[in-house]
Amino acid sequence: MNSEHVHAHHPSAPSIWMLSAIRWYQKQISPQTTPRCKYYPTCSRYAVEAINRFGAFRGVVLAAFRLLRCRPWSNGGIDDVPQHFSLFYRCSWSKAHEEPRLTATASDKEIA
Amino acid sequence: MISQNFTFDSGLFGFFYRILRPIEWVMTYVMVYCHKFLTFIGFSSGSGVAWALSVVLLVVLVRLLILPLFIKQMMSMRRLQAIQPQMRKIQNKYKGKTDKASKEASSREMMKLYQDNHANPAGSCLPALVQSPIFMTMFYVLSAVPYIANGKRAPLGAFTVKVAKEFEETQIFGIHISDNLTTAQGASKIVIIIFIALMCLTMFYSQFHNTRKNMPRASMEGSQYRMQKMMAYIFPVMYIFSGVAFPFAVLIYWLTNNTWNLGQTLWQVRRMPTPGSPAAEEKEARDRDRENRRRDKAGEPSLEEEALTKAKEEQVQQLESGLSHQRQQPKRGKNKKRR
Repeated sequence: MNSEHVHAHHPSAPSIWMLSAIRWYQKQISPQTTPRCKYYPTCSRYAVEAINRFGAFRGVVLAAFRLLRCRPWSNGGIDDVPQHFSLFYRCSWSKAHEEPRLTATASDKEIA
Repeated sequence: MISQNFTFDSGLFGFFYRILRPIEWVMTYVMVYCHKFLTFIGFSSGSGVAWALSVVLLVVLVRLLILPLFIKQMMSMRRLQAIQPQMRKIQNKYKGKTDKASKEASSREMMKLYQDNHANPAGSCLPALVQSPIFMTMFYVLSAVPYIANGKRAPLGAFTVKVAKEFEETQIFGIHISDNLTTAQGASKIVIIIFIALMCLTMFYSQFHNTRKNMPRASMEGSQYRMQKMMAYIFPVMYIFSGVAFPFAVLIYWLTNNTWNLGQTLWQVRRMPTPGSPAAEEKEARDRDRENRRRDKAGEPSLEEEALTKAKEEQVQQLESGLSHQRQQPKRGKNKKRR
């Protein structure tokens, strides 16, 4: 594996703190509302995967961009955490761009 | 009557409201211009009903601004209805499979379908995120008015001391618009209580109506549904407590907003119900009745009669061509002849 996966094995203090905050949200708040995400995986799962894969800072930036993508005029749909970090992975010209997958990849499963 | 200093300008609240200052500034101007418009069409200037109505107008303006988002969501729902057959196909494909991989695959396929058809049952979080600072601002501006009027706080945007005084002295149903339940006296207390009750009732009913009528029957059981129903009861109760502390102007704002919400919900549930929900069944029955009435007037056979004749014709055709898949009762004579 390349250097970008290093964080997956040694989570830092901020990422542990953030992951537990997201866990808390998933356990306490999310079940009380209707399933209402327009993306798959949901924003909270996306954040967990992104933080695990890219570390606290870059993971949170990706998650924040994901939240901003939750707009009334966006289409929603499948939006996985990219295998390689890039803020522009949604654009087809980006090197990190990936087509929507109908099955989870091995690395998706490993983290989820 | 009111405390010495404006508490929203200090501490953590002060920080938040300082960030929101531009919206606050715009809001005061919108209200002043609404008031100018109302006096232009014949309401009395100075303190009077026009100020209360300008609060109502403000709500209407904010709601009109986010109405396109609502319409967009409705269009998406309509497209969703068009892809129902494909959705059912995916549901059947993964029927009864509860393992993680199948669940994952089925949600991915469903999402892909939504994505390809530009339809999505979920709204987005942005409208809620946009609306909450506006509510906060509203609350701040209306609460600041008495402090601007008595000089404890600097004027805010279009709300100069003179305007704030006018606003504060406005009476509607015999209540000063800046009074709250604790400062109001006698009969005005009752009016405020009625307003709080109406506010809670409109909020409760729109949520109750939505969970009861506009949810697919399949998801109308289990602990999650019960939890949601509970929420419909709990939230309005929480409003009672906050309603006690709010100035009357905020209550007017809130009641108008909840009424608008209720209207939107009623309209949505009636015209564009969620597929598979009780409301959708009602709509189907309604549409059927309407079509039958139209046919009755035009002298055509009703939908049921048409279906019946069609089925009969088909049966006759099948019998004639001998292609019936139905098991025929064995006939004695027939069998004997063959032997």
